[in-house]
Amino acid sequence: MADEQPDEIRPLRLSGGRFDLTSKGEVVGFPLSAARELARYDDLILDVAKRLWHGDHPSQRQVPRDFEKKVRLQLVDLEKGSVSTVLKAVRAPGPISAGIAGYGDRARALVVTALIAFGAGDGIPREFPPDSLDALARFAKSLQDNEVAILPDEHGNELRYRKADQQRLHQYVAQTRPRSGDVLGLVTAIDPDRGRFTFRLRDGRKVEGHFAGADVEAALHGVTRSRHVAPYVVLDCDYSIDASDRAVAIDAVRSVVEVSRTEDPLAPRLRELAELPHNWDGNGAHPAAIPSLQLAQAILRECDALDAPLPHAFLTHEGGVLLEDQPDLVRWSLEIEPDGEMMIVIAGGGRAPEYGEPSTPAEAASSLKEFYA
Amino acid sequence: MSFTPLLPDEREIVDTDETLWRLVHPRHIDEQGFPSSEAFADVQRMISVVQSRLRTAREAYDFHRRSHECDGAWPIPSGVVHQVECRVVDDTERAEVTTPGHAYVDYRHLKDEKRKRKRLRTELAAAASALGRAHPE
Repeated sequence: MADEQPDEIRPLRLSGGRFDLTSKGEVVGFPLSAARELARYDDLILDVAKRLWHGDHPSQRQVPRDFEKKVRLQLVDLEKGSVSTVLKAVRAPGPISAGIAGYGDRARALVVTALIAFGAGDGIPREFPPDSLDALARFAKSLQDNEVAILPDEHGNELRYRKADQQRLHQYVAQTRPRSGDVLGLVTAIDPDRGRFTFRLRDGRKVEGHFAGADVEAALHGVTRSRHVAPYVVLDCDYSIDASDRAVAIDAVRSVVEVSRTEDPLAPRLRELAELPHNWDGNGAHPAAIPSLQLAQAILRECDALDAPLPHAFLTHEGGVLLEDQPDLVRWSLEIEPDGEMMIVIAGGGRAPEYGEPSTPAEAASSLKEFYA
Repeated sequence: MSFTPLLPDEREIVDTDETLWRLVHPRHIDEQGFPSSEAFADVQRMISVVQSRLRTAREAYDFHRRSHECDGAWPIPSGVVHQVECRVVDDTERAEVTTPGHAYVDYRHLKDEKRKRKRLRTELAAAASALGRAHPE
């Protein structure tokens, strides 16, 4: 436990309009109608902080018990200037678990970074938690046209955020954009009469899919199962994405390819790897690339057919798949890069390394078989 | 192929008998409890480790766990690092470094040497797995 001092911070300043003492000489206090903006800001920071914490601790379901108390700010004063009101706040006093220190500050910095990036036309930064976007788009909603929220960034510069910015961000978050390509997931229900199906994406979200044509219908039918037994499939399709580049609807399916059936060797492990989110290692790691998952499953089927031992499967930071085994001092390691390129290294135990670059799943499986022979 | 010049507050550790602790994320551990070679990689080609002469495996693990998920501290013999033409750099004197006893395995010079990079990771994983996790035991 470390002591975090209840040092005073000034995370937000509200200026103009109702906060401007010089305008018309009628402002005598802080309008209660604007107090909801302070609560909205605090809720936003807590939401972002929680998602950052979950990103760093992917295997933990809940944040620590005192997390909310330590992240939320305590209002100590609203300092009225001539043209603006400064929110003066403190962090909750007392000891803070080392594992949760700093998340409030990180969240505040990330919120400002995201708003600056959006204002500059760069979209929302990838590190901003997608599920916090709605909360971000609500911030400053109650401001009037002549008012501005001023937030300092990490370097002491000030971001001036207005009602018009909020409306533009709100519109951006609500919009979807069309894309075309491969999407990985499970088909869990189909309604042929309406040409619709339910697609469970690898991050667990369900989206509605649309299809047309007897061939596609038959292909979708063939892979439709309940969630725990449905095969992972790749849809070559037109789809829509949200502001965080996440698929939100499948608009038209061209083809359906099975990647991993539940009866495939190591299928549970590959499914687990397929479902790991962005930043699964707390260090910015990418989710599994579809070509590397497809190749890994094909290699494991070949290993099974050759009666070779099944290796262990892992993800790489870049989204490739590693298949490895080490029965004693020497390790057999096959890396499948995100684009499907493969390389084998056999090393360890002081022996000279051996390298291989298999071009097919069968060649890769044969190498493992020979390693054991 | 030459090493990247060190910063003023860095120095190479030439002792080949030093053991280094690598703190491994649980996602890099297989079903039998052993680390993948990906646990011994780094985007910047500088693998963070802790020097055993300065910190025990337990101390390294406890410090790391304050801010990261961690399976445990795995041993890397520095001799293996030298064997694959890489080096260990002590950067504890750098103001930005906050991890007690920190050092890094430097393979920045292997930027264009894919095979050698993969060999390094495989050798380190093989050695660590053969020695077994140092903490928790």
